[in-house]
Amino acid sequence: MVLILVVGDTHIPHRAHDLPSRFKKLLVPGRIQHILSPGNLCTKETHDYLKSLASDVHIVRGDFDENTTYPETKVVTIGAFKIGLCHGHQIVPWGDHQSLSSLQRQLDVDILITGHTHKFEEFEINGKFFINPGSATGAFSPLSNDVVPSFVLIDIQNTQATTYVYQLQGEDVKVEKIEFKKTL
Amino acid sequence: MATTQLTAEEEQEKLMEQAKGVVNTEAFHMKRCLDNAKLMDALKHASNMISELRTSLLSPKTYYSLYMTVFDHLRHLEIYLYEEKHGKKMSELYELVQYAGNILPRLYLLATVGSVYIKSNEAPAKDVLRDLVEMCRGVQHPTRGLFLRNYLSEMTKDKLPDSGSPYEGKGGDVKDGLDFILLNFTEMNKLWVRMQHQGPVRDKERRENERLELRILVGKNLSRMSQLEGIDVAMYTESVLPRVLEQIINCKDRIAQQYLMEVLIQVFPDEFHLATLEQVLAACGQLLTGVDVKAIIVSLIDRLAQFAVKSPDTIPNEVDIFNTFFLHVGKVIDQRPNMEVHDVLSLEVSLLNLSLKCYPQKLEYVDKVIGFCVSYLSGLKSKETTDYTKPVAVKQIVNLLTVPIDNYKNVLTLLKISAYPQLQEYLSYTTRKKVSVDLVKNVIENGTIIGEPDQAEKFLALIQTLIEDSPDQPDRSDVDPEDFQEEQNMVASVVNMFDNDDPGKLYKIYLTARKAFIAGGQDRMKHTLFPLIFRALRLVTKIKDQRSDGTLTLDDDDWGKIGKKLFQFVHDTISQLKENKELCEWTLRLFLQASQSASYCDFETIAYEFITQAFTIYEEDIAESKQQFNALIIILSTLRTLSCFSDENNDTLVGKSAQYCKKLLKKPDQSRAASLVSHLFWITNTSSSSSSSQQQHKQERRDETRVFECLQMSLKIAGGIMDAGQKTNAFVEILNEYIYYLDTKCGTVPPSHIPTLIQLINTNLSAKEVDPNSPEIIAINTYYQNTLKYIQQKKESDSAYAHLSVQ
Repeated sequence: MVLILVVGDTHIPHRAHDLPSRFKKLLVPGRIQHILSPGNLCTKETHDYLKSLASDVHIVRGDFDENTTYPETKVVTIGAFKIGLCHGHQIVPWGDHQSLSSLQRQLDVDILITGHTHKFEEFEINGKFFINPGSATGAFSPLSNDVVPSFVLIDIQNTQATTYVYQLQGEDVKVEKIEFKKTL
Repeated sequence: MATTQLTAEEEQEKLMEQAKGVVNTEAFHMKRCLDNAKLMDALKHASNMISELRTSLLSPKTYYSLYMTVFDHLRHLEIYLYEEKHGKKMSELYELVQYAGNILPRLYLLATVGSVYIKSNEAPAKDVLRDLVEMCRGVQHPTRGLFLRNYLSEMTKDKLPDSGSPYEGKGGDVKDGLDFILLNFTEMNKLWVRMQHQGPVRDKERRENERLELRILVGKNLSRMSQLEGIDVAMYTESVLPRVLEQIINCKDRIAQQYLMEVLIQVFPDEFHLATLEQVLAACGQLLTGVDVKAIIVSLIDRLAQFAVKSPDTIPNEVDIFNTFFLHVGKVIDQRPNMEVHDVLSLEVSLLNLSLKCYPQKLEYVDKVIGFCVSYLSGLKSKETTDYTKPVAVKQIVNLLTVPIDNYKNVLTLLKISAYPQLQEYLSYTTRKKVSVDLVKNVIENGTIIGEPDQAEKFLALIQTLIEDSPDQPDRSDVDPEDFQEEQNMVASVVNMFDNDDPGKLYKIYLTARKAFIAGGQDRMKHTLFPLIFRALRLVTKIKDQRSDGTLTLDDDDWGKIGKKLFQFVHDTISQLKENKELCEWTLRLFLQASQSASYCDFETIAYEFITQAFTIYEEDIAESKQQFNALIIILSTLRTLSCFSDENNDTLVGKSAQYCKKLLKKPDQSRAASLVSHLFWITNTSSSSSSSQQQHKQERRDETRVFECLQMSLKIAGGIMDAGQKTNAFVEILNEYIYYLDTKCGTVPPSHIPTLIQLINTNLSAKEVDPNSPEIIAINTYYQNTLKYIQQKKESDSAYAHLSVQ
């Protein structure tokens, strides 16, 4: 069992002061092996916080990240899966499934993780899996009215990836499970 | 025979061994006589044994050791006298022992017999006790007297008349028991104090140490008093405390006063102290100046604070312990002008703790304490002493500031304490900054919402050290840039905690905050203005939504005014950052974000203005080719989401962006940008992009011709790329664009173009100059192969793909 935390668009401190305390309680150091972030953290403090949760942290550059040395895209292999990371503000149109599919082909990945829309989404195209973890802080976006704070946890076992999406609705954390099996 | 020099310690050891030798021998004989019922002889030996305690050569420590040995042996005698039938009446024995030669053995024996006398009930306890305690006056040597009286106390501790004791009634009552202990205590204290002045001045330190070794002997009397069952609050207040305090004050001895006050507070229960607070504190005021009154009062305050927390109902409402303490502490400080600053302040800190623990609702008490400290410190400042800058004093000032923060966990309560901000002035820059950081952390960690304009203003004033330059701050070169950035980011976080359902109030807060932040200069503004901008955008979109769903009624006119005001605020705030050319990429993005909100709210002119600003920055400030490319992509992708523009305006903006594409430096960038422009002409609500499903485009655009033109342009430019790898990559990207339009049912691409492009790509890939093993080519080829696979898969499901042939 390999746990991957997918979390992004936190926009601290530009649009939020901190992660929701309910989320912070769930994110205990030592339980997660990898962290993949599509970016827009935006500062070193949040990066350091992620580093305190797991030793293997990958971040790509969002349009408001202070650190301009993050790469625009990244591909990480974990177990049987090749996972791609990109913030998504570079994809025109934003959040468009077809355009994302094109990026998936370019990066040659099984799972593509993007952000920017601050809206959680998971879908499958032609046996490839697409995840948008949303904004972990529920940060303001001119693109959507009610941003629900969310993040995703992926559990990889062989060719099966089980994703758990955590959403903060009011005071409660709701969890949903979606499974994805890699076609070989 | 050479005599070896012994150290003082070894001397004492030797003397004690000698004395113990005699004691043990005499004790042995005494026991032998008792076994043979020879009482008189036994008493003679006992007397000899006790005589060893007449020595003046031993130090208190060694004397104590010898005393304990004698004590143990006398137990034997006591048991014999009580249990064995020796045929003598108690009164007889009592007479007998008074014929011992020297006074010290006489009194030890008397005490021993006296205790048995009381136990046997042959005489009233109070009479025997009075007799004994008076007779002990015969020994005036301090060390010997103290131990003798201690022996008396030990012997009689379980034979005192007390409520419920077997010696009550004929034997007396608790008052007699009390009198006995008080008298013993008074005499012992006198002896103890006398030690201070015995001997030459140069030995003073040694004498004081010896006194400290003996202090428990005196203090035990107070313990004994506290153990008397019959003493209630009334008796304590009337009979016990006044007499004890009298002795403590009148003895005018620093060591005695210090120690005995502490013991007094320690041994008696909290209820007694509560009832006699005034007297005790008044007595503190009368103690010698050398006494550490602070320690005494602080221990009293802490005790009572703990007590009040544990049993709050037991404090009678009439007793306001805070005010009593506050008043007396004030008096004490007045009477002692040489008191150290940190001592005064730590007294006030204890008072603060008391108030927070016992009277958490009474903010005025906290204000009183802090107010007192402010005037005290200002008094010091005007005398130009800088004692309050010493680390020990600074620590207390910081305590005064941070204890309330930690206690309330809500800065809004702090803001109500009027004296609080003034206290910060007495700290150095670094310490002030640290306190400010603690305040900010408190807000963030507790999620405190600051809702009222005056609260926001006061709070920003409190953390002023972080907000703007201070006259006493160190050189900028000495400041660690990472620390500075972290602090400013914290201040920025706080902006997200300003909130109010009343938009008018919230707007006011933002104005106040912006004013404060601008005063902080460009270094700070680049951190603190960002959240302000986003909060304003959030506010205006929230008002729009509330209007739409009916939560808020606002007529068109008013909405227009409010919207304009808020967007003007955003415009002006971003403009503040424009002056810093290093921020040009950020200000461009900020204007684009603002344009999205303006579009959402249907403020076409304002949105247009924001885009214009973004374009201006792009043209004037962004020169580096990579930055230009990145900026252009954001411009294009933003434009695609804006739905508020008339056709005319839209054409102007799109046309301008297309021009920018052509002016990019590198051909691959030009080609890519041109394909992206194509998307500006194909905007449908059926496209599966999640983001635009939230905000349905008011107008779809389906301009297949322009889409085609863009793609052709892109293809042409790609053809002109000289580097084979880059050229191929550009072609593959365009191929994917074709696929995009096929998938979105745009009929822009003639069927023949795709196979042609595929051929082109194949040709390029197999060209001589292309190294198939280079990582770049492998990546491009993978992209290409994935694309072909995709097309192949789509052929089975999508009719649009049916005609495509793929090798």
